This record gives sequence, C-alpha cells and structure tokens, in this order.
Amino acid sequence: MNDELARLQQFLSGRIWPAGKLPFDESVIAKAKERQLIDDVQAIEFLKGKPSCRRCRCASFDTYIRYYCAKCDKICVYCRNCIQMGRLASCDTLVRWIGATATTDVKPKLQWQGQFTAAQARVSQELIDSVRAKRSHLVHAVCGAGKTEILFAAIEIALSMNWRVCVATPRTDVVLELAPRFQQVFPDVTVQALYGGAPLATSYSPFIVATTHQLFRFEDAFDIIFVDEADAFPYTFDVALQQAVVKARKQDGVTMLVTATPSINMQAQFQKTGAYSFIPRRFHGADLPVPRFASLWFYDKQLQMNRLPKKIARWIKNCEDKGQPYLLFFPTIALMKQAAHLFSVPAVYAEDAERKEKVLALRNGEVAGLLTTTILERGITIPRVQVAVIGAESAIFTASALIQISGRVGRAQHEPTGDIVFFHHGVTREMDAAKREILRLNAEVN
Amino acid sequence: MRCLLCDRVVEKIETWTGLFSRRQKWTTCASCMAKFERVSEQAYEGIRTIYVYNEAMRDWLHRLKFSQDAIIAHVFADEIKKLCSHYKKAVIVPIPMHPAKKRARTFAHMDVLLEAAGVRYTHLLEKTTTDTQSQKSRVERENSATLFTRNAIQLRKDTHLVLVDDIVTTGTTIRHAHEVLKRDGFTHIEVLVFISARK
Repeated sequence: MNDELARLQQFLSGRIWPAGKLPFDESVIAKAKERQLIDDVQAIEFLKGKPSCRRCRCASFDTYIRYYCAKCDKICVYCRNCIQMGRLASCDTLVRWIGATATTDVKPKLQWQGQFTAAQARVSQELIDSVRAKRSHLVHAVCGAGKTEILFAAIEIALSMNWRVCVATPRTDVVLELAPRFQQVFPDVTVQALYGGAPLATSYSPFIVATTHQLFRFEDAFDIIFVDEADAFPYTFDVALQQAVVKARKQDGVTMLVTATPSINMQAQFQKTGAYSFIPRRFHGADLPVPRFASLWFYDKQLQMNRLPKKIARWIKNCEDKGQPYLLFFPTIALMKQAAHLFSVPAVYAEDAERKEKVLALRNGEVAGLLTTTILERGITIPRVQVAVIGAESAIFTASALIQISGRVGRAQHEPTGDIVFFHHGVTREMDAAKREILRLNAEVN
Repeated sequence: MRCLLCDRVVEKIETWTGLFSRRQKWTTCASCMAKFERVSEQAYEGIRTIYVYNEAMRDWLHRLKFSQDAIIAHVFADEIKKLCSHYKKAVIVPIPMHPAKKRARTFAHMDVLLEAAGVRYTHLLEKTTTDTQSQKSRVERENSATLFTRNAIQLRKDTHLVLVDDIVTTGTTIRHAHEVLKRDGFTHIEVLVFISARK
C-alpha cells in the first residue's frame, strides 16, 4: 500500500464520512475504491419504508424532511438532526473503510503521581477488573468525587491491549478540559480531541476524546467507550448520546459509564452483573450539603409586579454580609430577564455572548453573585458559593437537575459546607426525591 | 410541536380557526419570530421590502441557502401568503436560479419559499450566468451584462406582474429582471423583495 492510501486508511478507519467531503485527492479515493478498501453506503436508508440516517440514526420521524430535489428530479429526504455537520440527503453517500483497520503499537506509560482516597482506589480497581473481563460498567459518583483520575488506570490497560479508546461527553467545554489532562498523563499517545470546529487531524489515534455529535462520525470503531456525564448537567445520558455510543463502538465493545445521577433501571441492570461502583463521598470526605425548602408563594407574580420578595432579599443580604458569592437559579430566561433589574448582579443565560466573562467575574470576586438559568458553565467550581433555586417546583427542575445544582455547593477542600435553598410555590415530588437522594448518599457512609 | 429555528417545544394555542382549518405542521416560537425586524421605511425606489437584514435574518438565510435546510422556508409561510394575497389577479414571478446552481443546491430557495406559503408562481425569466451578485464589488455589479433572458411562456402584455426576490442590496438583479420584462412589453410590473440590506 502506498503512502497516500495509508494516510486514507489512518483517517478513515472506524469513520463514516460524507463522500466528496474527504480531505483527500479524488485519485486516492478512486484507487482505494478499485482495490475494494472503501465502500459507499446510502446516507439515508429506508428500513421498512421508514427513513433512517446512517450517521445519527435518529429515530424520530419529524427530523426527516421530504423535499423536491432538483439534482435527482424526484422527492428526496434529508435529516435535520445532524444538519450542523453538513446536510445528508437520501441522494448522498457516505464512505466507510472496509479494508484492514489502522493500528498503532505504542506502549502507553501512565505518568501520574496522584494520591487516591480509599474509595477512589477501590473503584479504580473495580474498573480495571471490568476492563479485563470486557464487560460494561457503571460508576456512580457524587458531584466532585474526583472521577477523571479513576479512569486513568483503566484506560492504560485498555490501550496496552491495543484497544481503541474513546472518552465521550455531551459538552464541548468538557472535551476541551479533559483532552489536555489525558495528554499530560499519557505523553506517549496522541490524544485526539474532537468537537465542533476542531481542526481536522488526518492521523490515526488510538485515544479519542469527543463530543456526542462527533461520535456520530464513527461506526464500529471503538473497543471501549467511557461516557463521562457526571458534570455534564443539564444534559443527561440522553437518547442521542446512547445511540451514538452504540453505533460508534464495535459489536463486542463495552461502555464504561460515569455519572452522578443514574436512572433506577440502569442502576439495577448493572448491579445484577456486579459491574457497579459507587462513591458516595466527595474527595474531601465531608457530607453533601442538604437542600432546605423555603416557601415563596406567588414569587412569579411578585417579580412581575417589580417587587423583590423579602425572603430572597434577606438571603442575598446574608450572603453579602458574609462575603460569600451566590448563585440564583431561575426556571426560565423570560422570568430572569424580567426580574434582572431588581438585582444588583448580572444575569447569564445560554445565548449570552458574555457568559464566560460574567462567570469569571464571579470567581474573581468582582461581582457578588449571578442570576442564571439551568444552563450553567460546568467549570463553576466556585469556592464558598451559596445557591438558591427560585421556583424549584417548576417542571424544568427535575430531581437529577436539583441534585446537580446542589452539587455546586461546598466543593472546596477548606470549606466543604454551604447553603442550598429551594424557594418554592409548593413542594414537588422531584424536590422531595432530590433531598431524599442526597440524604441517602450521606447516610450511606455514616 | 417544536420550533423550526430553536427546537424548543411550542404549545400551539387552540383557536376555532385552528380547529376547523387544516392543521399547520410547522411552527416558530414567539421569541424566535421577535428577533426578525420589520422595515420602518422603504429604502429603495419602486421596491417594496418587508424585513431588515439583521443578525437573525442573516442566520436564517444562511441556514436556508447554504445549510440547505429547506424546511425553514416555512418560518415565513404565513407572512408571504398574506403579502401575496394583496396582489389580486397578479402573476407572481420569482427571480430564477441558474439550473446548474439549482442542481448543486438541490432546490431553488425562492420557489421553496413560495411553495411553503402555498403561493402560485410562474417563471418568466431564465438566469444566464452562474456567478452570484454577492461575490462582486459594487462597481462590478452595476456594470454587469444582462443576467436574465425571457423564456417561452407567453402572457397578455397588460398582465399585472409581481417580481419577487429574497434580498436586495444594490438592486442590480431586480433592475435587470425589470428591464427584461419591460422590453418584452409588459406594462404593469411591481417589485416585492423580502429582505432589505439597507436600513
């Protein structure tokens, strides 16, 4: 095989890529096709008459749009679910590598001299056992348990067995944070970070850190996928990510799931096989802060009438007196914007262009607090932060969302406590469930 | 139902008309619609414009034309339908795309826009060049040779024609199309352009 074909092999191994968008010469592709090394597949297949996107496998009927295609002079179908990666229609084709896949024979050396807590060491060993036995595993760790370090040893073993490894997470900022950390501890391996807008590397890498969407570009590629969603709030292990994981891993591949809020089904399923680890403690060993409920009747009406409820005012004053930064969570952007002028602190929301700057200002102590919606920066590990949720009874605040919000409090070593208060217009089951779960996690150790 | 632009769940308000008329499949949420800005005064002579080319509009046009998300033509379906119903007994003439370019994009965005609104149209023109106006400088645009020719469809010369296009910047495209139709003998021509690049 000549150089060009070898480069194509390196790039295309495990990938499924739109034809005509490959970063290679036409002649190379033609040669590969001639030697039956690559294969064309229809981008939108029809399974029992139902369209199915070969890239994202979206099952919803609404995402497939029929339109009159001027290229084919007939009705074609395109997929809206993955359109931001370039549109795929039923008249497009995807290219797969069907020859021998690329391999590397690096002997990865883990270069990490950290200290595990007892719980971390135990879970790390359990993960290694699962990797050796090649079975899927669930790690249930509370927010701030130090879960990235737990993965190191397991990844080292997987790499040394010449497995292709992927760490998948729903958020780009998590990829940007994780990739350099992995690169640091595995200096012999090139860690490829894949996210929307990342520069396209054509070389083969046995270790990939990717967002959910980038995972769609792979098929039958990985022997082991670590799904890290412990801090991925507000995205949970959603259907899209699950599908992407199943599609991207090999038929006999395994999934290692790290999460702070597993569903009961998932928990039961993994407990049955024994591939379940649990860390109920944070690395500093203190209890998780337990939320308290405070009634705030008709808060939305009060805010709409431009009145700041007394309880909130008192809570803010208390924080400011003690010099503690605070976060106020709102259920909707609309309510937050309406109420913003009642507060002396800035408001952040998902589409806010200055989001990063505002969060940084809070961390540096330039502002006393922040108003925010549920979509908040992950890196918001602010020491001594106090949290209040306004309208905790709203449908958007599910039990897992509330647990994750509570997890923002008391993450620092020297001050592991803090106030987390749910201001509500009636207590919901979700609020009860969140509080019960946190109490249960605390009781587990005591 | 979900918003076409932001994918958030939209609750459709039940009305009597909604109950009896054919159910609309595609909706846009109020906050997305509010980002589009209407023209306050007409900036071009003899051209009726509707929306200002702002950030939201640029985004929408980019998604329609370059991301080829044909379905978002439905965002303005009601608006276009209402506009075109003002011109009674008029023939709607969209600015055409070059066939080669249309094949590359897989659809003509003007046709898709009008079809989404359920407006009937007739192509009277044909595009002769494949180069786009947006890649040229102002001087180049204004001096460009004829962009259109008349096709074979014959109509009575006193037919009320409405030329429609998506966006007007210098007005060269519209001027060329207008001239071709006028030279063919049509007397009653109006121009309706969806987006105005001038504020």
